[in-house]
Amino acid sequence: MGPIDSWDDTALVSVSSDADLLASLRAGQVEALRTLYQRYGRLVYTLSRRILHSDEEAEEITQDVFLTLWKKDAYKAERGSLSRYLVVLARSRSIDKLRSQVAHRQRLHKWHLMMADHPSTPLDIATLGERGERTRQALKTLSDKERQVIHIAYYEGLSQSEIAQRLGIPVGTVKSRSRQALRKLRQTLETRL
Amino acid sequence: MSFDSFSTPDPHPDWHDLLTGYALGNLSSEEAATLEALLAQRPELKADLLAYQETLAMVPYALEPQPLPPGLEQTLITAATQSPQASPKPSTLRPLGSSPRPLRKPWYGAAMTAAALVIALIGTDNYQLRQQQLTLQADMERTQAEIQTLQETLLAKETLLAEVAAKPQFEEVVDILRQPNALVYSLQGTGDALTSSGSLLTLPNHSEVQLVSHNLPVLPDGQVYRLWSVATEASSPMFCGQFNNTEAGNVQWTVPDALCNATPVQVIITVDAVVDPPVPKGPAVLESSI
Repeated sequence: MGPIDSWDDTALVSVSSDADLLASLRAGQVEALRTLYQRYGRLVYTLSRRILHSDEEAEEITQDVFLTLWKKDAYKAERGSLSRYLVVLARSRSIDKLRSQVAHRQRLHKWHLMMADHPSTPLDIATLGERGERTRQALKTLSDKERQVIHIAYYEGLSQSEIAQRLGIPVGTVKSRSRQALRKLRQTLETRL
Repeated sequence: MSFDSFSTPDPHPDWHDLLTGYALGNLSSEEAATLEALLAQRPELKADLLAYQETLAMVPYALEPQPLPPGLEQTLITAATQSPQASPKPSTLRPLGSSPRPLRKPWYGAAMTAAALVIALIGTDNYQLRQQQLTLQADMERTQAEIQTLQETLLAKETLLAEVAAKPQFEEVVDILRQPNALVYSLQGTGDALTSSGSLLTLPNHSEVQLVSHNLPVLPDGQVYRLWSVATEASSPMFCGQFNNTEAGNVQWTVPDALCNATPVQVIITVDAVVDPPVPKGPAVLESSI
């Protein structure tokens, strides 16, 4: 049993740029949406599932994110990459959903039980797949405490004071530690480019 | 842009700190104001801000990729073809290669015809039913979201009504709350006023605002509370009047600018000296969430 290796399902399907696909999408071509889903769907789904610990809810969020991309012309290239837009949207909607569930802390964390077997092929490993390895390596350069604060802030949507309470450290330390961690991450990721 | 490529002197000793704090969403209101001034002065730093935001968006790439649910792609594509952007009347479209209705065999007996009819209905209408179900589901989710928003607004108003029932100027507050377009901002204590809270009430196109507060101290002479309205996440806070609190925690004042009441993304209340110029400077004591 093991997870699949790549974020990108489109290695064999399309070499169109995001910009080309978005132009087709805006012209109403649903196949462009399909290709973008094949390119980024796994990232959006995995992130939502990590936050919500639920297959069904991650599926809802994923559909919602891509339908939003389809229906609303909200993405602006000058404000960053499409990948970031989708990640930010997925994270924000997942955390909203998490917060709306009063008893979410009591939920069973099924994350590790839900790993599905899926064969991987060398063709799966494309540019997007490399991002995974690069980011994993970059996160390893952080100290345990820095990594912990980034993970809690990113995936659990807790406020600074809630993180401080959880970790038993002052709010100021949460802020400085997370900011320092992000700074190091950027430095490492850019050095590895 | 390479991280090591900055050769110009630092425009602000903490500028990486401010940029990372912005990307992480953990800037205080003072830091946000400082950053905004810094970006106005050095707009080229927006590239660094973007770089930090992109860096943070890389974090989920470190997760183990999970296989997508098998039917999700087709569900998405079907739902997209139902949306306003899709080609017209998708419900009249039939999937390529789908069979015509299997109702053409008159030599079947009556029982067989009935059976075929049932099978045909199930088989051929399933596609349309699925599409109708998806449309209905999307409509229902939208409606549920609207209901949730209305319920939250109602709850905020009801909570506020309960709070003000015993306070002076109770009737003015109730009059505002009765207006369908009343805006209620829930405020949480911050900085040294963590136990304070309050609600700010405004009506679009009215120049008076009401603050109903809890645990917000009455300030000594020489100090005032000031209200700041932040129109968008990128705007500077705008001065929207000053006041002192009352023992009852209920105060009303007139805002100096009509824009103060134009549905800002955030409102902030600071403590300042009466003699301070009306620029965002004093520590924040109450903030609404963005």
